[in-house]
Amino acid sequence: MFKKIVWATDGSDSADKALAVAKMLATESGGELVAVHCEELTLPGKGGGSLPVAANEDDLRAKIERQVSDLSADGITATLETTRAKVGGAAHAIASAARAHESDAIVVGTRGHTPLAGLLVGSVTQRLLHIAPCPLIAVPTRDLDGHA
Amino acid sequence: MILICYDGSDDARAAIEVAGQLVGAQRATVLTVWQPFAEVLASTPLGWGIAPGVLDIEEADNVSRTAAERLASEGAELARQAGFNAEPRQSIQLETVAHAILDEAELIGASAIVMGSRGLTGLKSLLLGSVSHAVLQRADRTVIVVPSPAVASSRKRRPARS
Repeated sequence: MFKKIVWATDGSDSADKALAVAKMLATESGGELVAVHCEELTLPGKGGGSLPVAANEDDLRAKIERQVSDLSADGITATLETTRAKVGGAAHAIASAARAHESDAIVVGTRGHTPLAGLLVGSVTQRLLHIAPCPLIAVPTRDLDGHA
Repeated sequence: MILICYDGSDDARAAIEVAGQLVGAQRATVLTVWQPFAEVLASTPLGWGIAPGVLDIEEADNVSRTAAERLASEGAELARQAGFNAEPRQSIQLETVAHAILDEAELIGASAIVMGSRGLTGLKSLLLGSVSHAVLQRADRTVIVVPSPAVASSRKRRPARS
Protein backbone atom coordinates (compact mmCIF):
# COMPACT_ATOMS: atom_id res chain seq x y z
CA MET A 1 0.00 0.00 0.00
CA PHE A 2 2.83 2.41 0.74
CA LYS A 3 3.69 2.91 -2.88
CA LYS A 4 4.13 6.62 -2.60
CA ILE A 5 5.23 8.54 0.45
CA VAL A 6 5.29 12.29 0.76
CA TRP A 7 8.04 13.66 2.96
CA ALA A 8 7.08 17.20 3.89
CA THR A 9 10.19 19.23 4.58
CA ASP A 10 11.00 22.81 5.50
CA GLY A 11 14.70 22.05 5.69
CA SER A 12 14.68 21.98 9.50
CA ASP A 13 16.32 19.45 11.82
CA SER A 14 12.85 18.22 12.67
CA ALA A 15 12.24 17.44 8.98
CA ASP A 16 15.54 15.51 8.97
CA LYS A 17 14.18 13.25 11.71
CA ALA A 18 11.08 12.67 9.59
CA LEU A 19 13.28 11.85 6.59
CA ALA A 20 14.83 8.92 8.47
CA VAL A 21 11.36 7.45 8.99
CA ALA A 22 10.21 8.21 5.43
CA LYS A 23 13.36 6.56 4.08
CA MET A 24 12.80 3.46 6.20
CA LEU A 25 9.22 3.16 4.96
CA ALA A 26 10.23 3.63 1.33
CA THR A 27 12.99 1.05 1.69
CA GLU A 28 10.76 -1.52 3.36
CA SER A 29 7.84 -1.12 0.99
CA GLY A 30 9.92 -0.49 -2.12
CA GLY A 31 7.86 2.65 -2.55
CA GLU A 32 8.59 5.98 -4.11
CA LEU A 33 9.39 9.06 -2.07
CA VAL A 34 8.25 12.56 -2.98
CA ALA A 35 9.93 15.34 -1.06
CA VAL A 36 7.57 18.30 -0.86
CA HIS A 37 8.99 21.66 0.08
CA CYS A 38 6.75 24.67 0.29
CA GLU A 39 8.42 28.02 0.06
CA GLU A 40 6.32 30.40 2.10
CA LEU A 41 6.21 33.98 0.87
CA THR A 42 5.47 37.12 2.79
CA LEU A 43 2.38 39.12 1.90
CA PRO A 44 3.21 41.64 -0.83
CA GLY A 45 4.54 44.94 0.45
CA LYS A 46 3.68 48.39 -0.92
CA GLY A 47 5.90 47.82 -3.90
CA GLY A 48 3.99 44.63 -4.66
CA GLY A 49 6.94 42.32 -4.08
CA SER A 50 7.00 39.43 -1.65
CA LEU A 51 9.96 37.62 -0.18
CA PRO A 52 10.53 34.13 1.14
CA VAL A 53 9.63 33.95 4.83
CA ALA A 54 12.82 32.02 5.53
CA ALA A 55 15.76 34.39 5.05
CA ASN A 56 17.99 31.40 4.24
CA GLU A 57 15.54 29.92 1.73
CA ASP A 58 18.31 29.30 -0.83
CA ASP A 59 20.39 27.36 1.71
CA LEU A 60 17.38 25.34 2.76
CA ARG A 61 16.55 24.43 -0.80
CA ALA A 62 20.15 23.46 -1.52
CA LYS A 63 20.10 21.21 1.56
CA ILE A 64 16.86 19.54 0.48
CA GLU A 65 18.13 19.04 -3.08
CA ARG A 66 21.21 17.37 -1.63
CA GLN A 67 19.09 15.12 0.58
CA VAL A 68 16.97 14.06 -2.39
CA SER A 69 20.00 13.22 -4.50
CA ASP A 70 21.41 11.24 -1.54
CA LEU A 71 18.18 9.23 -1.51
CA SER A 72 18.54 8.48 -5.21
CA ALA A 73 22.13 7.43 -4.61
CA ASP A 74 20.81 5.01 -1.97
CA GLY A 75 18.60 3.41 -4.59
CA ILE A 76 15.32 5.04 -3.56
CA THR A 77 13.15 6.58 -6.25
CA ALA A 78 12.94 10.12 -4.98
CA THR A 79 11.76 13.36 -6.51
CA LEU A 80 11.58 16.89 -5.22
CA GLU A 81 8.54 19.06 -5.61
CA THR A 82 8.87 22.70 -4.62
CA THR A 83 5.72 24.72 -4.26
CA ARG A 84 5.02 28.27 -3.20
CA ALA A 85 2.33 29.61 -0.95
CA LYS A 86 1.50 32.69 1.03
CA VAL A 87 2.71 32.59 4.60
CA GLY A 88 0.55 30.11 6.51
CA GLY A 89 -0.33 28.18 3.36
CA ALA A 90 2.25 25.41 3.62
CA ALA A 91 -0.09 22.77 5.08
CA HIS A 92 -2.59 23.23 2.26
CA ALA A 93 0.21 23.12 -0.32
CA ILE A 94 1.49 19.85 1.18
CA ALA A 95 -2.00 18.34 1.29
CA SER A 96 -2.55 19.34 -2.36
CA ALA A 97 0.72 17.71 -3.36
CA ALA A 98 -0.29 14.55 -1.47
CA ARG A 99 -3.62 14.58 -3.29
CA ALA A 100 -2.02 15.14 -6.70
CA HIS A 101 0.47 12.30 -6.13
CA GLU A 102 -2.21 10.07 -4.59
CA SER A 103 0.26 9.50 -1.81
CA ASP A 104 -0.31 6.78 0.76
CA ALA A 105 1.19 8.64 3.70
CA ILE A 106 2.65 11.99 4.63
CA VAL A 107 5.68 11.94 6.90
CA VAL A 108 6.36 15.17 8.74
CA GLY A 109 8.38 16.43 11.69
CA THR A 110 6.49 17.88 14.62
CA ARG A 111 8.44 21.08 15.14
CA GLY A 112 9.78 22.88 12.11
CA HIS A 113 11.19 26.39 12.03
CA THR A 114 8.94 27.96 14.58
CA PRO A 115 9.74 30.76 17.01
CA LEU A 116 8.19 28.54 19.65
CA ALA A 117 10.33 25.60 18.67
CA GLY A 118 10.21 22.92 21.28
CA LEU A 119 7.11 24.32 22.93
CA LEU A 120 4.37 23.66 20.45
CA VAL A 121 3.77 21.24 17.64
CA GLY A 122 4.30 23.17 14.42
CA SER A 123 1.22 24.76 12.95
CA VAL A 124 1.80 22.99 9.65
CA THR A 125 1.69 19.57 11.29
CA GLN A 126 -1.29 20.59 13.41
CA ARG A 127 -3.22 21.75 10.35
CA LEU A 128 -2.27 18.67 8.35
CA LEU A 129 -4.08 16.60 10.98
CA HIS A 130 -7.28 18.22 9.74
CA ILE A 131 -6.72 18.21 6.01
CA ALA A 132 -4.39 15.33 5.12
CA PRO A 133 -6.02 13.06 2.52
CA CYS A 134 -4.01 10.08 3.81
CA PRO A 135 -2.38 8.82 7.02
CA LEU A 136 -0.11 11.35 8.69
CA ILE A 137 3.08 10.13 10.34
CA ALA A 138 4.36 12.73 12.77
CA VAL A 139 7.93 12.24 13.92
CA PRO A 140 9.06 14.00 17.08
CA THR A 141 12.40 15.70 17.38
CA ARG A 142 13.14 13.67 20.45
CA ASP A 143 12.67 10.10 19.36
CA LEU A 144 13.19 7.50 22.06
CA ASP A 145 15.02 4.91 20.09
CA GLY A 146 15.35 6.51 16.72
CA HIS A 147 12.94 4.39 14.74
CA ALA A 148 9.23 4.21 14.17
CA MET B 1 6.21 -2.47 20.41
CA ILE B 2 3.41 -0.38 18.92
CA LEU B 3 0.53 1.17 20.83
CA ILE B 4 -2.76 1.10 18.93
CA CYS B 5 -5.63 3.19 20.31
CA TYR B 6 -8.99 1.57 19.73
CA ASP B 7 -12.48 2.85 20.50
CA GLY B 8 -14.44 0.71 18.07
CA SER B 9 -14.98 3.54 15.57
CA ASP B 10 -14.47 3.29 11.81
CA ASP B 11 -11.35 5.40 11.91
CA ALA B 12 -9.88 3.23 14.68
CA ARG B 13 -10.51 0.18 12.49
CA ALA B 14 -8.92 1.92 9.50
CA ALA B 15 -5.96 2.86 11.70
CA ILE B 16 -5.33 -0.79 12.58
CA GLU B 17 -5.46 -1.83 8.95
CA VAL B 18 -3.06 0.89 7.81
CA ALA B 19 -0.73 0.27 10.74
CA GLY B 20 -0.60 -3.40 9.76
CA GLN B 21 0.63 -2.49 6.29
CA LEU B 22 3.03 0.02 7.73
CA VAL B 23 4.60 -1.61 10.75
CA GLY B 24 2.85 -4.98 11.07
CA ALA B 25 4.46 -8.26 12.10
CA GLN B 26 5.55 -6.97 15.48
CA ARG B 27 4.19 -6.77 18.99
CA ALA B 28 1.33 -4.38 19.64
CA THR B 29 -0.84 -3.37 22.54
CA VAL B 30 -4.40 -2.46 21.63
CA LEU B 31 -5.66 0.05 24.15
CA THR B 32 -9.22 1.06 24.98
CA VAL B 33 -9.61 3.90 27.46
CA TRP B 34 -12.71 4.13 29.65
CA GLN B 35 -14.05 6.93 31.78
CA PRO B 36 -14.83 6.34 35.47
CA PHE B 37 -18.51 6.88 36.24
CA ALA B 38 -17.79 9.59 38.79
CA GLU B 39 -16.31 11.66 35.94
CA VAL B 40 -19.28 10.99 33.70
CA LEU B 41 -21.62 12.12 36.47
CA ALA B 42 -19.61 15.22 37.22
CA SER B 43 -19.88 16.27 33.61
CA THR B 44 -23.68 15.93 33.42
CA PRO B 45 -26.05 18.78 34.30
CA LEU B 46 -27.37 16.73 37.19
CA GLY B 47 -23.91 16.34 38.60
CA TRP B 48 -23.84 14.41 41.81
CA GLY B 49 -27.52 15.10 42.47
CA ILE B 50 -28.65 11.67 41.40
CA ALA B 51 -25.73 9.73 42.76
CA PRO B 52 -26.04 9.17 46.51
CA GLY B 53 -27.80 5.98 47.36
CA VAL B 54 -29.30 5.62 43.91
CA LEU B 55 -26.43 4.44 41.77
CA ASP B 56 -23.75 1.96 42.61
CA ILE B 57 -20.71 3.71 41.18
CA GLU B 58 -18.46 0.71 41.63
CA GLU B 59 -20.89 -1.44 39.71
CA ALA B 60 -21.12 1.17 36.95
CA ASP B 61 -17.33 1.20 36.69
CA ASN B 62 -17.25 -2.58 36.48
CA VAL B 63 -19.63 -2.40 33.53
CA SER B 64 -17.47 0.25 31.82
CA ARG B 65 -14.29 -1.70 32.45
CA THR B 66 -15.81 -4.89 31.08
CA ALA B 67 -17.07 -3.05 28.00
CA ALA B 68 -13.58 -1.58 27.45
CA GLU B 69 -12.03 -5.03 27.83
CA ARG B 70 -14.41 -6.39 25.23
CA LEU B 71 -13.65 -3.53 22.85
CA ALA B 72 -9.89 -3.93 23.33
CA SER B 73 -10.19 -7.67 22.62
CA GLU B 74 -12.10 -6.90 19.43
CA GLY B 75 -9.33 -4.45 18.46
CA ALA B 76 -6.63 -6.98 19.27
CA GLU B 77 -8.36 -9.52 17.05
CA LEU B 78 -8.42 -7.00 14.19
CA ALA B 79 -4.77 -6.24 14.85
CA ARG B 80 -3.89 -9.96 14.66
CA GLN B 81 -5.68 -10.15 11.32
CA ALA B 82 -3.57 -7.16 10.25
CA GLY B 83 -0.40 -9.08 11.10
CA PHE B 84 0.39 -7.88 14.63
CA ASN B 85 1.22 -10.00 17.62
CA ALA B 86 -1.41 -8.11 19.60
CA GLU B 87 -2.56 -8.02 23.20
CA PRO B 88 -5.66 -6.16 24.40
CA ARG B 89 -5.52 -3.72 27.28
CA GLN B 90 -7.97 -1.35 28.97
CA SER B 91 -7.05 1.71 30.93
CA ILE B 92 -9.01 4.10 33.12
CA GLN B 93 -9.10 7.75 32.11
CA LEU B 94 -7.91 9.67 35.15
CA GLU B 95 -7.18 12.96 33.39
CA THR B 96 -7.77 13.10 29.65
CA VAL B 97 -7.84 10.34 27.04
CA ALA B 98 -4.57 11.74 25.69
CA HIS B 99 -2.92 11.37 29.09
CA ALA B 100 -4.10 7.78 29.38
CA ILE B 101 -2.69 7.02 25.92
CA LEU B 102 0.66 8.70 26.62
CA ASP B 103 1.00 6.97 30.00
CA GLU B 104 0.38 3.60 28.41
CA ALA B 105 2.87 4.34 25.61
CA GLU B 106 5.46 5.18 28.26
CA LEU B 107 4.64 2.07 30.27
CA ILE B 108 5.08 -0.35 27.39
CA GLY B 109 7.94 1.61 25.78
CA ALA B 110 6.04 2.00 22.52
CA SER B 111 8.09 3.13 19.55
CA ALA B 112 4.96 4.49 17.87
CA ILE B 113 1.37 5.38 18.70
CA VAL B 114 -1.30 4.62 16.13
CA MET B 115 -4.66 6.34 16.24
CA GLY B 116 -7.61 7.23 14.06
CA SER B 117 -8.71 10.77 13.39
CA ARG B 118 -12.36 11.68 13.72
CA GLY B 119 -12.01 14.23 10.99
CA LEU B 120 -13.65 17.12 12.79
CA THR B 121 -12.74 20.47 11.30
CA GLY B 122 -13.08 24.13 12.06
CA LEU B 123 -15.10 25.24 15.04
CA LYS B 124 -16.20 21.76 15.98
CA SER B 125 -12.62 20.58 16.39
CA LEU B 126 -11.82 23.61 18.53
CA LEU B 127 -14.81 23.11 20.80
CA LEU B 128 -14.67 19.37 21.13
CA GLY B 129 -10.94 19.21 21.45
CA SER B 130 -9.02 16.58 19.64
CA VAL B 131 -7.34 13.58 21.14
CA SER B 132 -4.90 13.36 18.25
CA HIS B 133 -3.91 17.02 18.71
CA ALA B 134 -3.28 16.51 22.40
CA VAL B 135 -1.29 13.33 21.85
CA LEU B 136 0.79 14.92 19.10
CA GLN B 137 1.48 17.91 21.32
CA ARG B 138 3.02 15.85 24.10
CA ALA B 139 4.28 12.66 22.50
CA ASP B 140 8.00 12.00 22.40
CA ARG B 141 7.54 9.15 19.96
CA THR B 142 6.20 8.78 16.43
CA VAL B 143 2.45 9.28 16.11
CA ILE B 144 0.55 7.82 13.16
CA VAL B 145 -2.85 9.41 12.61
CA VAL B 146 -5.13 7.64 10.15
CA PRO B 147 -8.29 9.26 8.78
CA SER B 148 -11.31 6.99 8.37
CA PRO B 149 -11.97 5.85 4.79
CA ALA B 150 -14.93 8.25 4.57
CA VAL B 151 -12.89 11.23 5.78
CA ALA B 152 -9.94 10.34 3.55
CA SER B 153 -12.09 10.09 0.43
CA SER B 154 -13.88 13.36 1.11
CA ARG B 155 -10.54 15.10 1.63
CA LYS B 156 -9.30 13.60 -1.61
CA ARG B 157 -12.26 14.98 -3.52
CA ARG B 158 -11.94 18.55 -2.34
CA PRO B 159 -9.52 20.41 -0.13
CA ALA B 160 -10.81 20.72 3.42
CA ARG B 161 -10.98 24.20 4.86
CA SER B 162 -9.34 24.92 8.14
